[in-house]
Amino acid sequence: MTSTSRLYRLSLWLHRWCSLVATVPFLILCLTGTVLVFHEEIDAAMGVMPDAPGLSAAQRPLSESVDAILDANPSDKVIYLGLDSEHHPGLLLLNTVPEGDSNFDRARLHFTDLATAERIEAEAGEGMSLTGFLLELHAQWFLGPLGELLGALIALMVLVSLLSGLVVYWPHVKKVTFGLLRRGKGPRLRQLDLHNTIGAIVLGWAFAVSLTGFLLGFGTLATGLWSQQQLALVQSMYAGSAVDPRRPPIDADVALRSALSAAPKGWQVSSILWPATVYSTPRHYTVLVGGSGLDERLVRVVLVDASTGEVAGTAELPWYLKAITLSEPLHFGDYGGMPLKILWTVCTWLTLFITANGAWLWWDRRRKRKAHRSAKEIAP
Amino acid sequence: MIGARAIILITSMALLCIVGLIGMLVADSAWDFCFFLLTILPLLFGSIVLWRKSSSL
Repeated sequence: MTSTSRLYRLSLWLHRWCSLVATVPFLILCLTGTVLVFHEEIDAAMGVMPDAPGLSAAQRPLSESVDAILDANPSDKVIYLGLDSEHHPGLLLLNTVPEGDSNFDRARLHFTDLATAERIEAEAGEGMSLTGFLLELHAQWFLGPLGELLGALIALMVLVSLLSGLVVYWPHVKKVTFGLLRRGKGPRLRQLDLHNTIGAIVLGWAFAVSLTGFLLGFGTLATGLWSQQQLALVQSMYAGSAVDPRRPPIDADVALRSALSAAPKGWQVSSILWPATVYSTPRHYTVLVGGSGLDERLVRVVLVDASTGEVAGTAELPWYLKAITLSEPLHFGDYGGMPLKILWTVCTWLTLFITANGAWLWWDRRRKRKAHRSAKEIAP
Repeated sequence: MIGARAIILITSMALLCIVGLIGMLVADSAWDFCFFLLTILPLLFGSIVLWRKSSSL
């Protein structure tokens, strides 16, 4: 056996079995993914996210919004504050948890209007939304971090299927012109031609989405690794000098200004994490700052002392977290407006079609072989 | 298109699509449209090829 035919046989085996094993989970991923691409529109239509009030010249201090939320939730503390002027202009997102908690497991989402510092009622804080439910199914299979790894395995199988498919297609395209749909030669050849042509068309997109899906499967694991390696070291240094996590001496406005003073000009604060959470120290706010373009995604971490307001240090995300952070938009396709979302939907359905018709091709061949074998056994 | 030329074309289109996807993420709005065109290039090309092959039969 030559090395070429050995490679072909191996690729055919990988292409067939990786695709077949991944067919059903991939169907679920495609269906949920199609809905999730439009999560902003769906959330807005279902009233999950309140309408953004829009940017206003008159903006109240962040601390007034924090106070409004704390007054309304006396047994809770704020642990997270988010600003997103692009998608939710004029809106402040705040997470609260019961006072003893340091993680986000029991977090509730609240909104305030930046211009008035008044609370805005929305359904996001009340239970799970439709898109939240679908995201948990899509990203974690309702299995938590283990489900994420399962998702990574499915993405890996799709990746292998794509690359091996290209190798399998090589001898085929030597005989049949690219894009030719043979007619009058039975449904099998027609489906095979469709499988090859559509597979070639969506190859780049499917590769990008599968690779990013594979990386996103390691999101929780990578964040945990970063917390244990780098954050835990800083947390242990300040273990004895905690501040009141509900009412730190320095408020969010001072933390924001201090963080911006340590960031390059023109950068914005996207998130503030309160002291005594899993992503901060007992004494420091963790502030995430980002610029525009690529820098908007590759945020920097600024630690602000909650007692003095001084910047204790800045850090860039490690390379593996940068890769995972960049994978998110490339996987969900929500960074290029409606045209990109429509492209995502079209490509998702085309990929789903070739997965289904590939399974049919396998089943049809198997059925014919069985029938042929039976006929041979019956024949004298 | 047949043989090695077809494989090179398919691989090139896939790479251009990926460049377009990353370009849209990285670039400012002025370049967005150009990168979007790169991204949809395989779809456009594939549609044209399918349409031409179907209509010529």
